[in-house]
Amino acid sequence: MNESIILLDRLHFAFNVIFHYLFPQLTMGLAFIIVVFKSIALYTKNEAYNRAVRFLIRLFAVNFVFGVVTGIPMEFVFGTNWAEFSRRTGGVIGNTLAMEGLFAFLLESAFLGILIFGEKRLAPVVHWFAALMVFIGTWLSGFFILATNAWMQHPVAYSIDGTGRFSITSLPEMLTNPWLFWQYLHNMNATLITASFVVASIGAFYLLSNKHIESARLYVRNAVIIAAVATVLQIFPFGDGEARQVFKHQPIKAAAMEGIFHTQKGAPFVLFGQPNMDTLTLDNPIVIPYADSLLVTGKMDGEIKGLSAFPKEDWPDSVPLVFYAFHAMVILGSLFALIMLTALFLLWRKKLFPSRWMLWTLMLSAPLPYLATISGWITTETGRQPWLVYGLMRTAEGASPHVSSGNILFTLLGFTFIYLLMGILFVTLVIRLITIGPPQESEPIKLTQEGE
Amino acid sequence: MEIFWFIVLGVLLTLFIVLDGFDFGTGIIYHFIAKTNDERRTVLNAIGPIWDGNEVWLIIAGGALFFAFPTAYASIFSGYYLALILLLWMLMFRGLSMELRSQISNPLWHSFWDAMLTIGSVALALLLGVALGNILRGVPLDADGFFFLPFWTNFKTGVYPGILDWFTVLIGVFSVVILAVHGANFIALKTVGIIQVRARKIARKGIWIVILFALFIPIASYMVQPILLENYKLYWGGIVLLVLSFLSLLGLIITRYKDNDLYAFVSSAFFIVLLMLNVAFSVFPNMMIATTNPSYNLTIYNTATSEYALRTGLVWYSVGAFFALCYTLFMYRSFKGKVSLPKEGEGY
Ligand code: HDD
Ligand code: HEM
Ligand code: HEM
Repeated sequence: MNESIILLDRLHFAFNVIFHYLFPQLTMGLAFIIVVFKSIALYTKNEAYNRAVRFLIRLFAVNFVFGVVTGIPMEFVFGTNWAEFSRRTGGVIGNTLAMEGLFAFLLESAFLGILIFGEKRLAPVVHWFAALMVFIGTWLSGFFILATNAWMQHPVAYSIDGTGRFSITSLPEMLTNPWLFWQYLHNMNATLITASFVVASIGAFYLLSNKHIESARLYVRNAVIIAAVATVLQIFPFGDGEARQVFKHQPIKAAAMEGIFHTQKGAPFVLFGQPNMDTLTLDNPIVIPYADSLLVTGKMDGEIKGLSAFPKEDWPDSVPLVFYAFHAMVILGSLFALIMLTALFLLWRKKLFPSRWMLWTLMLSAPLPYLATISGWITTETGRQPWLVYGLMRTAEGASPHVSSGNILFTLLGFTFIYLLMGILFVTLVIRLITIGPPQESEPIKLTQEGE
Repeated sequence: MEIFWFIVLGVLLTLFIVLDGFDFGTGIIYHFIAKTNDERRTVLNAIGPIWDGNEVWLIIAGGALFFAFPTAYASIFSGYYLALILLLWMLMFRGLSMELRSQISNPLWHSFWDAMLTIGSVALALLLGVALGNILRGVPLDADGFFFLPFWTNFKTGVYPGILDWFTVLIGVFSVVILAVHGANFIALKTVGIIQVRARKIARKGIWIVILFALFIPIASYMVQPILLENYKLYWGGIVLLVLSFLSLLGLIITRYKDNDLYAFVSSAFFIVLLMLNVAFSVFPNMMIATTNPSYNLTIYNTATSEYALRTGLVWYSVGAFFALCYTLFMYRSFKGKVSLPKEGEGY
């Protein structure tokens, strides 16, 4: 297959999926926070929580629309741009993708309408139930899509026929793919981090500008508590678990992530450096000696395999990108834990709301989890190269055979243009929403039935 | 098993066209039935809470095709590359227009999204019809089971046509008209007063155009792709389908002229279902007819996945379909009855 076609198809997919995932990552985390707020409101009968959550539901609704609108292309892009891949693997991953639609999307879209339009018409318990169902729906979507991805990372429960077509041999086995376990926990926990950072940031903004104080305190307090737990769990055990399984099953990706070129005992953990692909060394390294061996094997002098132990045609085509992406994620992850633990400490000492520097930090750090998540996905997906289905099907074999590069470029440019406009639109709408803010105490709520 | 999944696929696609069809139809006639801002908001309220759920059927149908007939999915989606991406863009704009219009209350903002809604809806209805036309006509499949179609060549049918030719465009226009009637029936059912009156009027006029097309299209289809008649010759039951289609059209005329909104809506739904049944019946067992060489036809047998997958799918699909039915009913129940505007004014 023509190189430029593959490259364009990959860019096309990466661009689409990264843009799409910006939205679900907030949706899924926010759905959880909404359930938390609704539950507290229901349990303590504290109306302040109900007022505060109304705004979060509106934010959720706007975000959800963009998730849906960018998600529909994803389902098509497999067939349009990766036809050979679809032909061969559809018998396996078609299952999870179809299940996502049938089980998760219908659930979400049906109950979301009720969540948005139904508060005044329905009993509080029913409204709480709608929130719960939306949460379950979004987390189910996440499960099925990650099951799909996990199968591409670590294929299980398949057979191959003479024409290279895969068929599933056991659905339960596919859904309990061992790879999925850490991936699901790590990724879903990342959505909690994103959402709690966003909610904390909005709360901090209101506190700093002295508006909507009642709701703002609830946002900051609850988000900081959730985030503190989630950021710590994200590093250990979830991040650690992900890393171990990559070392076990995809040693080449692991070596690229860590920037280890040569097999060594007592490998250091690299904090900083630039992989040099000509000399196969790391420029300007700053390292913690022995740390990598210790983390992965549990022994100071444990052996770690380097890239040179593997044939070059199995290396990811951009080792430096994998390396940088992984390090960006880890550095950001450590920073998150630091920020949120500090904030939690201040909250506990009742000093959080007066400390303006902390509120400024919270307000400004909302974009960072997005960066960390994109980095995580680039690590995972670029690190999987040159395989499309790990160890079984190369990326170069997967593209559509009859679609020319001119046509791919055309649609890629089209998507870029549309997503640029949509991005601007989204930001404008969210800023507007934040300016209006949550309903004040005793202010009558304005909720129209129109498609909000 | 393959036959069973062929039926499932047909049912899902039909559900999508019948349900989302009235959303599209509403978008098509939008500018004719709703003139003032309040009227427009009323119309949007009728479809606002349900369009997303309706659109999910497209995704589910796509998923079912992907999973049960991967080879056909791969071939169809890459072959219609340009048309499908265009379809996606239209779906995106249309979805955004319904959701974003209410966010800012400025007349220019409203006009912009109103236009998007109509353009998107017309284009989608047209494209869906064109897609159906392509299925009926056949495409230039290669020996490897793939093909690629440009948008248009010379607008003639033949071995190497484009996505658009006189036949597919004809079916496309037909689809716009029939969905407009279907949408008008829906709006007549869901609204009162001036909007309802206008919707009824449009539906009545539309029916006559539908009849004109309905007489001509079977002949045109036979001219373009003679294979389509084979199944009717083989199985006499097919004639029943044709007869039923005409009966439902008759029912549509009668109920519409009696202004029985509910039954008119049901009849237009039935008519669409029967049209789909006829298409499915006439192409069966092909998924894609080759204009190049009949032995390249993609049939349900040479594109299906393994027996195990089809069987397991049967189990979880039944469970899923049951749940799906429950939510869909729940959703329609929650938003049943005529729509009205809340007093508090617009937006947040
Ligand atoms: C807020 C986001 C976030 C943060 C702070 C972290 N991660 Fe992460 N990470 C993700 C968000 C993420 C992700 C986006 O969710 C990924 C991409 C694919 C996936 O399933 O999860 C991921 C993947 C991912 C992978 C690749 C797995 C694979 O190849 O399949 C590893 C090894 C780690 N993570 C390890 C870590 C470690 C050791 C962290 C310690 C600080 C860490 N992550 C913080
Ligand atoms: C390549 C892969 C992907 C495909 C094919 C895909 C497909 C889709 C589609 C079609 C929708 C719209 C659903 C609707 O109409 O309600 C959607 C929304 C959604 N997707 Fe994706 N998606 C992909 C990646 C992901 C990933 C990686 C996740 C999460 C881990 C995810 C989670 C969601 C969620 C939760 C929604 C609901 C809408 C929202 O959250 O904004 N998707 N996706
Ligand atoms: C949030 C979710 C995801 C993100 C952000 C993501 C990101 C990426 C990126 C960055 C690439 C390009 C890799 C490269 O150029 O080296 C890529 C490729 C790809 N990913 Fe993912 N991915 C996600 C989920 C998925 C899922 C769920 C699937 C499968 C169902 C998937 C299938 C693919 C395919 C088919 C390619 C193209 C071939 C390739 O270049 O590897 N991705 N993705």
